[in-house]
Amino acid sequence: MARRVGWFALSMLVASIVVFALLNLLPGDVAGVILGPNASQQSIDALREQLGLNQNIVPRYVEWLGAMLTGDLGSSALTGAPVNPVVADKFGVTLSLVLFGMLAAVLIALPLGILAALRRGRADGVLISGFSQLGMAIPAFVVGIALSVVVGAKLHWLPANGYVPISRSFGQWLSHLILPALTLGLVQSAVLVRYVRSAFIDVISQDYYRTARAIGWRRWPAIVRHGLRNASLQIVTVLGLQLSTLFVGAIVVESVFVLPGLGSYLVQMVGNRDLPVVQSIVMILVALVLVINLLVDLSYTLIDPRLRAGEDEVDD
Amino acid sequence: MRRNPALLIGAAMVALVVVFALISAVWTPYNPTEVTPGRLLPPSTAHLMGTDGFGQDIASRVLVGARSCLLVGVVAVGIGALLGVPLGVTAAVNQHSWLGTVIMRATDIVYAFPALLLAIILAAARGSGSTVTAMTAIGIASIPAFARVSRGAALQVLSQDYIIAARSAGTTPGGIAWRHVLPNITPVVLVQASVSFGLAILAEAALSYLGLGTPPTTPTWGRMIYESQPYLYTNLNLALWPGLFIAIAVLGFNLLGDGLRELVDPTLQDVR
Repeated sequence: MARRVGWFALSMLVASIVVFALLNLLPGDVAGVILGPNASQQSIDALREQLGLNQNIVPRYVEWLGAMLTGDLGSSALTGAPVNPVVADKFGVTLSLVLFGMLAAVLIALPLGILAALRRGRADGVLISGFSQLGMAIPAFVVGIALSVVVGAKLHWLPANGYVPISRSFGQWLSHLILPALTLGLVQSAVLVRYVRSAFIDVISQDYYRTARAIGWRRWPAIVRHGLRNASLQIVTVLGLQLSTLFVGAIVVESVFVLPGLGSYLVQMVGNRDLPVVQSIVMILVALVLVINLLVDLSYTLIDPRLRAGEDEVDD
Repeated sequence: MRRNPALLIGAAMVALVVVFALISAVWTPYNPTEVTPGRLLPPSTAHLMGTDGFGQDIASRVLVGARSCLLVGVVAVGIGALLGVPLGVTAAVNQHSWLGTVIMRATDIVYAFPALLLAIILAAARGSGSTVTAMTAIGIASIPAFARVSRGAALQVLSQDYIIAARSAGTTPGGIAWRHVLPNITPVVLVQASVSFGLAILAEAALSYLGLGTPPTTPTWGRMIYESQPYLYTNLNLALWPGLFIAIAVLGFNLLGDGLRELVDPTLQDVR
């Protein structure tokens, strides 16, 4: 386990070098990018000086890394405002979207996946596999646009877009999150259904399930009482790995529904060419993915002690 | 073949996209980038899918969009396979040395940079998005998948008797990788290529939708949806046509991948 944490720390370090190098070493001058093509050489030089771009790249990297490690995300190149309070605010929006999205994915995928496992080979089972294929092929933003226009603007059942902070109104906050979360969840559930289905096909072929059925349990109670717990291990693992996909998916969904989250902020800052802010947000997202992967890895060994012994062999 | 509907349907859908791309190279109903006064026209015999907010013919743009969709997929999958497969095979051959470990750990780190995020970083560094940065980013992000799949398959091949025979006959590790491993893992790599193709199309569409993909002069399906946003509440069909064809292309490649997998390994039929 110590080895895994060590690899994680090394991965974080390498990832931070990659992020910094990509944004600072690629051909193209940071100051020039920020100021746009029509800037005068004089103002570019002034900004270079102000951003410290004339210093050697290594001390600049070390300084940035040190600041990030102490939780200081730096400040905007355009306004000079510190990034921390903004990011804290927006991260909350993204986190609630991701968690509700995951909830929606589970609520959709669990019953459908179980049904597909039970009705394997029959018409409705095939139909569910079809839903899964379609859900993986339709881009999230197309699903989002369709929901926003039809359910939001045409039917007026839910807000078509926008956001209300939870501090202002809980009900409004919730109603503004439903369609975005449903969009994120629908796309994710298409992938999840396949894993749920195969986990429950496993369950159904086990002796304990056959015994439960033989002593008189009906099908669904047997599934819920005996199957759910046994299948949950596989499903929780997949959910953990999907969590990082959800954070990336949130970038697009936030843009569709005009939610003030971390993802839409990142896209906006790329448009504004505010590179220091982009750098810090990208690092946060990459770190999130790495942390989630580490936690999934560690939880494997915690849940299943058999995996602890041969640490070298479980890499696949 | 007869019992493999996924392969047939998938191949047919991919063929449709390829035919679109080929047709658009020689003929489109209208000039796809010509701005005309006939804005937001509904579908008619003159404009099969109507016109967009600039009066451009949607059907012509959908046809041309097939070209960019295939181009992005081919380049991205090419980058991913050409770098990922040698890395995976090298890692398998050097399984017990530091080289194998370092390669797989390095691909783990690349794995932490999803295609969309990597493309956003590159677009930010270059000041704006372009087709080349999008293709490069998506290609690099697909390297880990190719490396993992080919490493797993290569390990399986390396445990076979004929490898031991080749080794005792004096074949070098490089020779074994080239002559025995590569040909035998090709089917698995093809399956991965098909799946990655679909993912690449989705990633490029998302980038174009965010305005970070191809420049405005090139019609792509994602870009068409991005440009349809001001008119969505009155003219949803502007977004539906390109959305439909993105879905057809991705579904086609996914089904093709499933079908190929079934063809390669019939015992896997139930693991969907």
